[in-house]
Amino acid sequence: MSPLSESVILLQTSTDIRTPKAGQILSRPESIEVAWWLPKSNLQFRLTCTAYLLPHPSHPSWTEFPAWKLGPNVEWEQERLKAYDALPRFLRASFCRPVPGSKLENPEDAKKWPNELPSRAEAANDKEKEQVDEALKNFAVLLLEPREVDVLELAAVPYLRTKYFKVDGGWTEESLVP
Amino acid sequence: MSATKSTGVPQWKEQLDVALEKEDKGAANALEYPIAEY
Repeated sequence: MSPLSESVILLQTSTDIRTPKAGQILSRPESIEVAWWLPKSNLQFRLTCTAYLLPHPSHPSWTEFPAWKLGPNVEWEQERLKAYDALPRFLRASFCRPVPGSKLENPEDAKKWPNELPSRAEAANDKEKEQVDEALKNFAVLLLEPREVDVLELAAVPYLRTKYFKVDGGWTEESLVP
Repeated sequence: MSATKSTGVPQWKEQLDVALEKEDKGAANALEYPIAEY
């Protein structure tokens, strides 16, 4: 049973804890804005959120994750491991490379990086297990708690735009000029 | 005042759920699915 009120919605995604983005999120977790465009529906979402980062337990920021608030009875490390296993193979590999955004001195080095990584259970040899361990050190679950959502419906003619925002525990909506 | 208040699942969440279902699950976007329910 969720300890959160029914109006609280958590969106789950992931990030690499080594990136500047993760540091920015940790420094101002209540001031996160996310923009998603979903092309098959032609919808754009802009979400103003509070963000919660769940990194590897050895990471210094692990103690900042508010498990007490989000789910004191949840095995959060198990949730993080399950989230890693649920990723596509190519996406798992992205956590086993040098820091995203860091300078690439020799582009040839990129050819040595793994293109795919197995899940924990699928790791077949010591090398793969080491790579999975490395990826798991860098892999963080990112939970987003939206408090304002701006939806732009680009398939409609004329476009439709609606702002949703939380008031007194419920969601209120109003139409905006697109 | 044009704002309307509702309880339960907001419409944006339903729109997001439907839109995500249509997207390619293997696409290299950052969003994974399903939405967390803890």
